[in-house]
Amino acid sequence: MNNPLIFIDPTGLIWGIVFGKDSFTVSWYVDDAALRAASATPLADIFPDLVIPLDDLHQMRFYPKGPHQRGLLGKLARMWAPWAAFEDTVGTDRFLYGAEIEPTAYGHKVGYTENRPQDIIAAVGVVQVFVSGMKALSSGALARAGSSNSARGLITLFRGVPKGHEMFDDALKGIARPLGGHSDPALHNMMNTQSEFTSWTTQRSVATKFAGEGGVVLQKTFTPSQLVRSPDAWGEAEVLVRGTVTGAKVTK
Amino acid sequence: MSAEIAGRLRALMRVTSGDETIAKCLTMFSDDAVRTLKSTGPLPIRHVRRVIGIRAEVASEKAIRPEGLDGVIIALDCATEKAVELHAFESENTVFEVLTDSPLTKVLGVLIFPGRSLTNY
Repeated sequence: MNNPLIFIDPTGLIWGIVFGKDSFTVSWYVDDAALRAASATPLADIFPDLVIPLDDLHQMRFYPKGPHQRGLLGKLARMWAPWAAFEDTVGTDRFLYGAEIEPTAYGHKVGYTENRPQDIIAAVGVVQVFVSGMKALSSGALARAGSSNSARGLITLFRGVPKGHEMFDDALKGIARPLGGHSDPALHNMMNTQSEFTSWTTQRSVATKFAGEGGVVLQKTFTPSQLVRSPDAWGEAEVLVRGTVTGAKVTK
Repeated sequence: MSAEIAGRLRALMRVTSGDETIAKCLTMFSDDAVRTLKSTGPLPIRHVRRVIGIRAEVASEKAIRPEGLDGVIIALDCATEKAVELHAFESENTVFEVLTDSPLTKVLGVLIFPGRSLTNY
């Protein structure tokens, strides 16, 4: 039913882990160069026995290979997704985990959350992670997902522009024009927006807040090469886009 | 330029007594940290008030409220200046943002973002 692939995505994305001092982040990267640039370790080097077949592109499923062992799923989930809120209901045939998949300039960052799975599932931009029980395990499949856009490496971003903003008239035409100036993403994130970037986010809800009453939300799908990472100190899922953007969909 | 701003920030934080967040920031403002210092220059206070207000709302929904935020919001509400400046540095896997008036005569507050980086993101 699936197409087993060991940590190789048919679209060319590669899973990797970046180890920090007290934590690590699992992401997938557009290619080897992006993985190396992020100082990431390929997941295949760490979990050689796990297999990722491509399944439903709107869900992520972790099915460890081999016979079911009590507690194994929990252990794997903690290694694979220690950020995930999950219920380990060993003894039933279904295990429910939750993880947040956050599109980034380089691919998809799997984010940490302490919310309950039911909260995660209700949240915007969140992917459910189902770990099925004995029956699913016997299929030896582990599927991963994202939206079909993300599987192609495309990322849909949103930009809120308030009424009265100096570029509001442009925004009404689907244009986002940088104010011009420096090229430092950190300074831009520190509110010095006199730069060659415009600010976007992967989360519509954040853009809507920035648009405010009477403002508009621009929506456009980008390839990762068009995007610049932001330090995103405030957790707004901010992504920067260099240069003038045209043809964005104007929504509210 | 950074060294000059750093010296000024240190002096201003020293004289801003009684604020635990500012004291913690001063402690972490080592010579190594100074090398990561970034300053915005003057920012219109209306812009900063608005953006920080929205960011505070987003952050609280995600339960990642930075330390010092309440003090900064109050300081911004009370400020009479037309422009403020932000100065950020990184130390021990934490980003510190110092909000001052413009030009740099007093510290209005400090924001602390654990687990964030100005240089590796």
